[in-house]
Amino acid sequence: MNTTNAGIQRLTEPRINPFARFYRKHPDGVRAAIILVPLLGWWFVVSGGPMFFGLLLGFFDWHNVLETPKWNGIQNFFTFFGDPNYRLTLWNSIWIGLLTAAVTNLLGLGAALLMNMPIRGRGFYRTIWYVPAVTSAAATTQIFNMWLEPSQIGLVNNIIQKFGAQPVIWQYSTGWMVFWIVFYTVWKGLGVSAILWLAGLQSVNPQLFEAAKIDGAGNWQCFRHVTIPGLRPFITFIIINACIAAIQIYEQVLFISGGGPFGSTNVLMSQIYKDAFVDFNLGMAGAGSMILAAVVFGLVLVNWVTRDKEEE
Amino acid sequence: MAMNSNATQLQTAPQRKKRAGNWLTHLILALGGAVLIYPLIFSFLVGFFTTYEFATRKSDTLFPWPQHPTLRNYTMFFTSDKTIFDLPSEEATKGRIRIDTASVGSVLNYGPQILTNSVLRTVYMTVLAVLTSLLGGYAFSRLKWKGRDKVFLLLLTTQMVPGVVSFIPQFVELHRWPLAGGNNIFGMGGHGLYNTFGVYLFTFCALNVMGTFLVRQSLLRTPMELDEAARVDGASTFRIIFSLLAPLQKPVLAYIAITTAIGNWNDWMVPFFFTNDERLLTLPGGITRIIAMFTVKQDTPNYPMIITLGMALTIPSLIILALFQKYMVEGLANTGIKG
Repeated sequence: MNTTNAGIQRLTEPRINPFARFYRKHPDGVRAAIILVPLLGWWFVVSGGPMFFGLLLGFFDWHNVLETPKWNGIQNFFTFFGDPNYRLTLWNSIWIGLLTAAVTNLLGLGAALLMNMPIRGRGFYRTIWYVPAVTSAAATTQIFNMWLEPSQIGLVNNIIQKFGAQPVIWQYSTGWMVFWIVFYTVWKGLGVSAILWLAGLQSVNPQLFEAAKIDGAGNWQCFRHVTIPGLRPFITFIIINACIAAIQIYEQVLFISGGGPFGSTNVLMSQIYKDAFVDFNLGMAGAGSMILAAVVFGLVLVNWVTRDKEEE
Repeated sequence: MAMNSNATQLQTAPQRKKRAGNWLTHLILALGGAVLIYPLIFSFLVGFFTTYEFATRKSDTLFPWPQHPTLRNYTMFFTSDKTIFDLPSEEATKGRIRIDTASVGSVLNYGPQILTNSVLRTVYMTVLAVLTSLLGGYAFSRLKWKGRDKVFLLLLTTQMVPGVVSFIPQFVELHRWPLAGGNNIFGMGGHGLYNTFGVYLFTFCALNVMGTFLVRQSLLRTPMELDEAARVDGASTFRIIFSLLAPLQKPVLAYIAITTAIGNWNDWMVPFFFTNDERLLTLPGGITRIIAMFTVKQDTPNYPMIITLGMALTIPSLIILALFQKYMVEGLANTGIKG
């Protein structure tokens, strides 16, 4: 823009103030700023900033909220991988998470296949199966606690005694406590998984099924050669996301087992809680969070890599 | 529809086979559904027991029937009627049972207040979430500005970090909030926003990143010509957002509203960790407070009361699910697959 043009502009729009001129030049930028500066500013104050500092805490030694944190370098991470208890929590997170994700998704896929059949009341079944997902963990874990009581209140023990089995003190049995944690998680997550798989199934072209049927394919052949290839774009996505959700379970652990017995159900997330709110070992809580975030980030990366490959 | 027309015709052998298959499908889905909602049915029945009867009976039937059914577990919450705690003394039960009454009572003293807090918080957070998602989604999809997609990617990346990470800094931040709760301008001296209603009003309700993402995806599928036509007709930006685009994004906004409402209604962490006063608790926070208290004292939990509180928490969620299940299922499918 040369000087003569600017001169003409000044003549035609003599009394326009600089803000209005700026707005004319970048209308979208100004609108975005008006909307986003307060939103993002507030987000940074109450959410983004604390997250950043929370991750940074992993490099500090901080045992008491009232004291000043001391810089500790990567000592916390040495502590984490040197302490068998911490290693156990990481391992628990991974194996309990994978087990939960596997069971939930196998059952969820099965349910989705059934819900995808042309029967009446599909919406009703979908809603019923989804019910546990909207309940509060604080409330529903208490139902399970009530059933697992070692006293006469404990429904599960009373029922298995009717069938002639010995009562079990669930709270002292490492294997059974893991079972109940997985059971609760599957109970709560099954409906979500079924709906996700159902959405995947419904995106498979129905004409392919008809073509396969005309060619004389049975149900199993249809599933093997039409459904699974049709689902392929979603399989990694759903499974990876289920794993991300499953390694972050903590409410059931806090409320049902408390991480016990002998740390067998103590997943990383519940250990972070204990570090932060029981032991006030805030540095280790930060370090644990960072390790958990790294695992999640790794899973997300796997998701992205596989996704790009399929699109190419 | 094809099925209906077939049903009137004479059935061929494959169709009969299909029918049998349908029955099996119904059976499996119904049985699975029954197993999934069984805990809720059980706890609904437990809500009609008196504390004493439930603590002394042997629970060995799948559906517990109370001998002396009572509604007091439910009415208690609104009337602060303490007669339910008229339990037999420890001598009468020979010390066998020591049912927890203190922790339940301390929370239930403020029953109506706690219920009001829960409802207000849920409504407030839901409105804010819808509003911020809509505005954020608009700014990140319709408006063109430098570095838009990079900023958005950064925001999305923060969603991967587990929420627990930011909890301690938030706690400190609330304590050190300047000019609130006796704090001076440097945030020293008082307790800040900790243990005030500020916990609910000012925190955790900024930009809803997941909602922004969903609105953005949805807006990218809405034709841009709509905006341009409205702009030519002289509509302002906010008018375009609220009168033109918002009605078109109804399914997405409904999904955001439902998930936020249920999430906040069920959230126990914020009230449990960030408040100390029973009058500031919400329902799930109250339940968690009770659990924490009787765990420390090692009393027998007062299950009928706790389970009833849990039902009070569950029933509104169920109503929301029943009313809006269409949006919920659609929205979930969209986030899962297209996201």
